[in-house]
Amino acid sequence: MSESIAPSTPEVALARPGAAEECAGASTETSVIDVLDMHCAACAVLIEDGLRTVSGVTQVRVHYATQRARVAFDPALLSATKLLALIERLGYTANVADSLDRKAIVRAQRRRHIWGFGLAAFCAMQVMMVTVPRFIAGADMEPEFAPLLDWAAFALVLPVLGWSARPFYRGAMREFKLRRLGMDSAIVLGIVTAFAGSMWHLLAATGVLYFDSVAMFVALLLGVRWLEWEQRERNYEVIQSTNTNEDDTVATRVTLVDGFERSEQVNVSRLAIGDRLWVRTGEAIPVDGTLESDTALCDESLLTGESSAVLHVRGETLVAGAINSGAMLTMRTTATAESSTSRRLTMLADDAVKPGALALADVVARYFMPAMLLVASATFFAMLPQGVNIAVERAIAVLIISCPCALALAAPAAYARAFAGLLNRGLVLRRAVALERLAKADAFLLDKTGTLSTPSVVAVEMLRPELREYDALSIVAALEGAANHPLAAALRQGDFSTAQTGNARDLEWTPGAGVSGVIDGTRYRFGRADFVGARAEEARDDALLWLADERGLICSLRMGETPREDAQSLVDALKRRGSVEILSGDDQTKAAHMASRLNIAHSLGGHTPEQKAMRVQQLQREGRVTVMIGDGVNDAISLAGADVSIAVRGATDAARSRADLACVSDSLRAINDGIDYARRVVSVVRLNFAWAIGYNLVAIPFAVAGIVNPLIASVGMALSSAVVMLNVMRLGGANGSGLKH
Amino acid sequence: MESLFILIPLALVLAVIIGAAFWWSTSSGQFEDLEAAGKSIVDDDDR
Repeated sequence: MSESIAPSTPEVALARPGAAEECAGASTETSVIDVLDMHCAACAVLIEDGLRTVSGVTQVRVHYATQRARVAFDPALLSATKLLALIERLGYTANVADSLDRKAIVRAQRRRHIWGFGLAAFCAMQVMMVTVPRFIAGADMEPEFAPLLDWAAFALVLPVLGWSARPFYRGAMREFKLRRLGMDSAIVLGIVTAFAGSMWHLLAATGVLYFDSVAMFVALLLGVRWLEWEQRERNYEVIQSTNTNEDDTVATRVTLVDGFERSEQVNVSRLAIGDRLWVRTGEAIPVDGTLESDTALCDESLLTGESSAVLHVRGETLVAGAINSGAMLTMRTTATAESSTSRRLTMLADDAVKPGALALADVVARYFMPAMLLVASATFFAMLPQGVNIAVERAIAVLIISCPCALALAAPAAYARAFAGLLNRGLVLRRAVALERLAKADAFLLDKTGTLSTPSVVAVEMLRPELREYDALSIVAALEGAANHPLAAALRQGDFSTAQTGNARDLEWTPGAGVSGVIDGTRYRFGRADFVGARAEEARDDALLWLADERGLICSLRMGETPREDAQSLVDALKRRGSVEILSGDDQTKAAHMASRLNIAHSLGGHTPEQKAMRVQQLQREGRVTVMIGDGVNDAISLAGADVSIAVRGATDAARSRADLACVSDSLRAINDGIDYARRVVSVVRLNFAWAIGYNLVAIPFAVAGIVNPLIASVGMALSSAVVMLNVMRLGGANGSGLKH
Repeated sequence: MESLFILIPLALVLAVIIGAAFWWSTSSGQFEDLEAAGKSIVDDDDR
């Protein structure tokens, strides 16, 4: 396989008219939309379901933690504006991602939360003021005061139900439109029954009023919801700030200097419109642009859900975030990083598969409500012989106490927190399922080159006196400009790439052998001995790479590898959690050497990706939970099929996008911190579930039996949600150390 | 005890006034950044 990377002239362009039409026929566009008022994972499901049925929508993914919806649609049938309108019709505030309006909207929302909660809390306390005397005095109260206090309570509860509780009515409306019983329906049902019952008593001047319970119920619920909203906003800020600090998103910019191409590594944020870029195999398209190579194969599955690679021809649009799965391509940018970043972010966060806990939360939210209604109505009818008053009171207590808020919040809130918390520690959680497995992990398989060690040039032996070592290495760096493996990256990062290099033409790269190219009219070859044509007696040493021109050998490079700075501490930390071994494609002696340097007992060298996968399966059969940590250069991550895959920083974009977790921190410590954090998240989720389920199991019988009155029920319900939220906040994360340095 | 007939309505009026004051303070953004005001005292820049 060889590839020509010099830009071909227009005449040579392989015009493939059919290809262009194919693409146009099946074309999809992707919109990223901010949905600002989702208050639980059920909302995400609701929007997904609501949009999926719309014709023209090919794929919907709503991400609760990032508050974003990614919709792929057919531009012939839909537009981004129409999508916004559709989401608004479902009852949510939708906005094109990263629009400037977001700050203003968030500010307005915060005010609405404070005002709604404050008003409800204030009124609830005032209602208490006038109802408590009624409780205490009971029958001793002079009868003319009773109506006065009752009507005062009525007046004070009106702002709560008429104003503060409006978000619940809106929520119930949208649930009604979608024919689904959700949390808001439960809340509104509780409010309406309690209020109607009270009104009846008030007008007939009989029995007890529940105004205090309703007001307290609404106030506490709004408090929990505000807490949750603030929490989510903070997550969002962490996610945003990390994304903009992510400085490993470099692109290769190509400029023409004196007719020669010169490439340089540039931070994506510094790219301008009209820049020419090289995108190597396995790299992601950094910003939107048009293709300048004749053809290109792009993997856009993360953006559109299209699983097979898409063929693009010259002049077509390339979307940021798509991965170049073909040969190296040349493109010209049509957008800056700011206008493309939102796609990158959503690309990184993708949870197609819901983890057990989240799926359970969905099921619970879906089936708990009907069950609860059954219990409430059963209670009502069972108590009817004892009088309507008692029956109503019991039913209200059941409805209020069993509001499934705590259950519905138990897992999603923790996962949303985990996303931000892990990001703060330097890991992007791409698949939420991985979190549960990561917490249980006890077998760690580490790739060697690029993960535990970095390749480096340890010795250079010049064979021609007239050339300086620096010049020779510059030539090597120029030749390696097109390659995408750790050595090439190491050379690119060195000083040589900024020197007089980058002006190589007609580069041809033969994987596993070497690269050749023309610099200043001379053809150079760099690679293994047989590739450059070295004599047999020189070629025996495997660790040597050679540079040669038409006249013969120029120099030899002895390649070695040094363990990464924090490799030892990572290995030590992982050994305390389970077994650690090296799985390397490199030969056994090198793998064993590295293993002994890092105190690893097991090392397996010379493994093909298939053999690696078999080793993983073997461990899995033994009942181990395996974690594969690598840089994905030889597809180890995607093929290994480990329970959890982690791509280290510097891994190819292809690997990073396929891995369950991607490291964005330079430090390997992030991995161990991440495992610690995952364990805490999982234990919090477990605790939350135990609490929420336990609470309902205990509280509902109490309410049925009449031990708990509606007021205590509303306090109990809100407290159970608050416990869940506080439990999640205990996780911390937003203020941890991690990416700060 | 007849004073209740004046005091309770009075309490309601007061509640309305307090509610209005709270609405004003919320909408003028007084609760948005509760930390900055406290930290401003250690700010070197005394403009």
